[in-house]
Amino acid sequence: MQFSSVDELQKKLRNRELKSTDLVRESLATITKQEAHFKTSITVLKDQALEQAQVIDTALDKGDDLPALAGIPIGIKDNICIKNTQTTCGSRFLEPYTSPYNATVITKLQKNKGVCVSKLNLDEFAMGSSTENSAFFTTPNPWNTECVSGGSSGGSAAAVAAGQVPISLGSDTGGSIRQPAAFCGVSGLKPTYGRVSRYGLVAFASSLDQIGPFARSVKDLAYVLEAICGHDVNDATSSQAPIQEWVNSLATPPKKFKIALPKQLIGETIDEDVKHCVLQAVDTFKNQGAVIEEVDMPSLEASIATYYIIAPAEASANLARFDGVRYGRREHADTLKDMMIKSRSEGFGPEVQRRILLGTFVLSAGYYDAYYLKAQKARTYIKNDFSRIFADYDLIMSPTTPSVAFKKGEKSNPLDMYRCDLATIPANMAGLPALSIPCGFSKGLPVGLQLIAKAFDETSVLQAGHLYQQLTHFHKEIPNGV
Amino acid sequence: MKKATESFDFDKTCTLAHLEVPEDQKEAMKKSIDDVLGYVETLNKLPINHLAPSSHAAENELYLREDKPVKHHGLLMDENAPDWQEGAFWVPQLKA
Repeated sequence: MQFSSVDELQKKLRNRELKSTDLVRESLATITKQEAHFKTSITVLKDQALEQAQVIDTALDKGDDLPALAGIPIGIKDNICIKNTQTTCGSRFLEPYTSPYNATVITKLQKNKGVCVSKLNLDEFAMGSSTENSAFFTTPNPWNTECVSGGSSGGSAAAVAAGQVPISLGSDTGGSIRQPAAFCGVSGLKPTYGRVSRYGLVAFASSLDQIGPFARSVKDLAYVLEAICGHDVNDATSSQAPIQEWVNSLATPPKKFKIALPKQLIGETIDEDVKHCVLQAVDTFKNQGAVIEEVDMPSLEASIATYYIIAPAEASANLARFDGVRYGRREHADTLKDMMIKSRSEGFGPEVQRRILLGTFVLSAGYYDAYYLKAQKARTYIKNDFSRIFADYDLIMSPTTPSVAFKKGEKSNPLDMYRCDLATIPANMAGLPALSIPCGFSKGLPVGLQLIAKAFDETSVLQAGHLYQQLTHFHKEIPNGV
Repeated sequence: MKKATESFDFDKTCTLAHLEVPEDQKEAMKKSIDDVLGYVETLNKLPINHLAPSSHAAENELYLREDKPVKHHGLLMDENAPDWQEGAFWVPQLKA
């Protein structure tokens, strides 16, 4: 069952050829068996998962009509709160923290009878591109354990790639779903900003964060998106845009897409092997009648600089709540202020401290206009550039990452690491839906293809991604040794 | 605009952020932040002065919930607060 689709599992569960308890046991056994070399999970939710599966089995035995995700094991990034469960955010600071409530996406998954089996590794507070910033361990890439799984949702991507779970949730602030999906050879979707409630997601950069799914196929992403999206009174930025029937929409042959290929994302900064795979994907789409044209999007080159002002600025404000008073780590000191300083300094790792300091500086008196305000104007510039392209095109296509997964320790300079997010950050800056799907291999490692659509047009990225997966096999490949 | 790398006061920023970086790591941390601040100065070349700032990615209308008091229960204060006694968070005194 390790690599079965939601459709296959659903059919077997409904026919009672398979029990949810057996499926969950298999998932838990795979996690345990692989833990020594793949290290995806911070917490395994064995007892509660089996208890939930038992309830679902009883309902299925009675012939109840249950939702599509009923009985299916799901992995959850460990910055999403599950009630009465530890939520560490990959940080020593939150190691002692137990969530008192469910994130809205967890409530929705539970309503859809999905079974959460693991809390998955991430870069501390989702700040990073490799899981090397996790306070606990680095999650290796299932395709080559010397390489990183990507980040920050590396645990979520690796768990699907290694067959531990058929689907998982991650969060994406600058590419944290799409980049690890590309590195691990799975499919990952960052929905439109506001499409999925952020309530219960520990905030990193609130104007950019968005929860989304990982799966092997685009169709399975559509199942999860339908389950988790929708307006939520607990998140004022969640949208009331109509929810589409994305799974059904995949059964309809899509229109002939008009696709833009930005020259800034297919130029000299992209590895030749990656470029080759993407250009082959271009041919695949052209053979299906798509019109694909190279376009100039000068704003894309400003995305990283804009992001590294806005995201740290928001992070410095969001992480001010971690002060050792109400929850999380507390170090002892004689005064309140020293206690806060000591708790924060010993609880946060170097990358989190770097981003808090950067954000504090760009928001400080005398620098706000010069940095934060300027970055907000640059964000308008990026959004305008996307609007100009989407006036003429349905989709924007690019590689997800400039290279395949890099080796652990290879990107020791933070700025080198930040530059890897060149292709993913722009969609966050403009709040657009973006998909990464496998489109080939280089040196035995997967290559990701990114598709971006206009706001709330998840239908186009999913239809295009599904079409591609009907014609190719890359998403079905399995790493050796899993 | 002053060059940030010239005016970035590391110690003052640490004070504002309630962080203390160990002496032996200060130089490397400061340099890495200087590098990023140098890099983001590329924004000065963009034709953006006339543009309105965007505070959010998508300008969704904000949907505020009804202004009704919510009863909180089960917040696990006992479990999560480092020092929770008699319905209060206990902390060290303000001055030693």
